[in-house]
Amino acid sequence: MNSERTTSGNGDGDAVLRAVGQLPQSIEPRRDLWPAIARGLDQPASTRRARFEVSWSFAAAAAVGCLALGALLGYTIMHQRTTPGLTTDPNIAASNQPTVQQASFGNYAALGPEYERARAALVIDLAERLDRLPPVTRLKVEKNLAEIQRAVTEINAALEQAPGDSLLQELLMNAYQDELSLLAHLNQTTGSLPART
Amino acid sequence: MKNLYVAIAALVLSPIALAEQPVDKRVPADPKGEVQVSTVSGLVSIDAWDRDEVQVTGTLGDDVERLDVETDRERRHTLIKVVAKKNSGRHHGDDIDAQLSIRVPAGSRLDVNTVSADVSVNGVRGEQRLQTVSGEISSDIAADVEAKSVSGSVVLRGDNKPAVVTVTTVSGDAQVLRAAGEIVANSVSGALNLEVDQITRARARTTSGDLQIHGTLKKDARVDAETISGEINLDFKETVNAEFEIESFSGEIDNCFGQKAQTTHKYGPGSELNFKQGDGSARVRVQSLSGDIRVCGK
Repeated sequence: MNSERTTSGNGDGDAVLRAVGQLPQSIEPRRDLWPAIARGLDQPASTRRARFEVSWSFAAAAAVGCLALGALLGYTIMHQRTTPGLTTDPNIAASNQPTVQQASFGNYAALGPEYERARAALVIDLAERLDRLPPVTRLKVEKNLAEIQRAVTEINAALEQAPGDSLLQELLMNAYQDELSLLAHLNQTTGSLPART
Repeated sequence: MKNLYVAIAALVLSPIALAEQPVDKRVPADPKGEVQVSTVSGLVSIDAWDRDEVQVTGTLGDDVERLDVETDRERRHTLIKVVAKKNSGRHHGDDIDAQLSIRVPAGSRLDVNTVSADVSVNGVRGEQRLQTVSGEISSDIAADVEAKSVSGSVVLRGDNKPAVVTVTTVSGDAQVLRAAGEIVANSVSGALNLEVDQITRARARTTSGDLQIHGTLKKDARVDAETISGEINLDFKETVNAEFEIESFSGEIDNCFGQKAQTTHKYGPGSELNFKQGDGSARVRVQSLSGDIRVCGK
């Protein structure tokens, strides 16, 4: 058994959680990625049978799915407003030439405010629940959230080198999906734990 | 002086010994019923037996208020729950440890949730849903299994009979041995080592953990393997009939079937490799950001 009640990792954790809260909220899908997301989110429930009670994980995954769908819808609306070209630079737009999309957080922060609010609430809830975890486990969770954040940063950096690369877009979408799934999973698994003092 | 140490040790250890409450409970159960276990800290060891009843033995820590072992009227659902004393668990060092040895009918379905407790399952033939936050999971695969761990490792052992295996870890490593059929595995930093025969569908993804899949492909199998920075190693044992789509943004692609990867960007490091092996009936898709990819087989 792991004995995980001896050290505290809360110092780094707050910084990590703040950093998580500042994560970019959107990506730039070139095609409808929702079916793949939905399949991914549903996969963990595939071994369940109706005999089992409806689980929090399924509910959480569904909630995450709704968030992701909201994100894509939000993005789509934003996308429609700015298409063609995706740039706000009038000089470039007026040139009638294919524009190069910047693969930066700025361009990817095109999701709707509802998505951002919902996700922020999930992160706030996570902070409360992480306090209930054994300190070593909490530290591991925080490190892994940071790991996903690092992956997102790396993919975005790569997108700056290769804008429109479909592999990178898919990896980015999956990284966001992983993060949301992890947040939902943590909310579910820590829900029954008593608060620590 | 030596006697003094012995006396001090006895004084220190005696409350621990006294704090342990032995338990021994038994309830009748349907041979294919569901057994649900919920505990916070300690160990849960579940073994199959040939009786139509569930037995729980072991010890409970001083901060455990009680152990509930209940079954419904039809005996199809048995609940085993460790109830901590009010306000226990709020301070580090609370003794809510429960060491449980549980025997269930071999055909039972399991639904186990623990926090800081290891879970070990042996011989159970029903479906299993095993979930722990910081404990380790070890179980046999005889039917569909879903195992989730945040920081502990997961080891699942099959007997090459088809089942759906779902493994999710955050930082813990996962090892699946002698599985067959369908597998879904996800990890952030933990390594995934998957040994699956007669794969119908395999979907595995890590962020930074390494990913290995060893096994054989069924006709029309579908394999998706993805990582950001971990290494991917696919090793197929028997003759491979599959279409491969392999792509990495900056990782290297090594293919022992012979075909060489092509550069995808004129000035960048990206590479991809698409080829058909045999009749190409299965489909294998592998991708990474910076992780190296190696594909091998006959």
